[in-house]
Amino acid sequence: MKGKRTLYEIYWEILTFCRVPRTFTSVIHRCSLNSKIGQEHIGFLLSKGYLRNFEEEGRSLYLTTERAGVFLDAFKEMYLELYNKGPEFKL
Amino acid sequence: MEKETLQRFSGEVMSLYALIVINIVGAGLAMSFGVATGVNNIFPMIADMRIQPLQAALTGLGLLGFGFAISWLVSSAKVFSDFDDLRDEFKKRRGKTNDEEMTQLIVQNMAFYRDNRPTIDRLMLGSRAAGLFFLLSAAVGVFNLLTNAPAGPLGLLTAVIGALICIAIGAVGLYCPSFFERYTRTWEQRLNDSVEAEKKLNRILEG
Repeated sequence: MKGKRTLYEIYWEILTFCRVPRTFTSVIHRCSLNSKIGQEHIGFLLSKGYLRNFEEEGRSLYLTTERAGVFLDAFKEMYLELYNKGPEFKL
Repeated sequence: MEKETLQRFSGEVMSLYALIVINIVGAGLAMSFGVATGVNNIFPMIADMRIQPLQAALTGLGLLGFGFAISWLVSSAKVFSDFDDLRDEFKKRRGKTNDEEMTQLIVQNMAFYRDNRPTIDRLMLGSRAAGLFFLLSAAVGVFNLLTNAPAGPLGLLTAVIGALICIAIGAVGLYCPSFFERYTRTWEQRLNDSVEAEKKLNRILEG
């Protein structure tokens, strides 16, 4: 995804993308992040226990943990609510 | 919930798409009419080797209108290009109406709005300025018609049609920004609400 996003939106995107195991390269590519920023965000999510890192067939992969569920559910609920509660734009 | 969100989404996407297309058409018409007005008024002065104040004013207004119309068109095209990507995403996800897909679209829309807010402001300014110049041009044209009506029905008809086109472009140019204002109000409200949501998300992350 391109465009200006908040930190929480980027975290949400990384976590939803990593519901299946992903490599670092695929995460930064999908979330349109540069390597340095991607490292920082993934590092933060690892430190919170929302992501876990493991090796498979010589590749380092990231996977979203169950612990991230609280954040993901809250994010989804809040964004759907803020989108639906306000006035709708129509011509 | 998903169906309701999807319907709302669909309506908003269609409305914004129509609005951008109207702006592109309006800006294109304004550009061509600006050039036509400028050229039509400058050539008689060149042929006569004499500056007529009214024709000089119309030439100036036509060329200024052309300049603002370019700015209006460029901004509209930029918004259209980004919005087209968003529309493609929406089309791809339309069949999968689950909460996560909807949330993804909302996040993408917010990113689109944050990115394009300054361009939309420029678009509104270009549209208003072009609208104003075309109304001024119409006023000059009508004044010209009343004080120095062209001889023959064809000349008169052309002048009247010219003034009417100017009025129509001017009205579109001045009126379109009010729809964009409605659009920005809707999204500003959502962005304001997202600040509260961010505080809650921050508490969860720190928890």
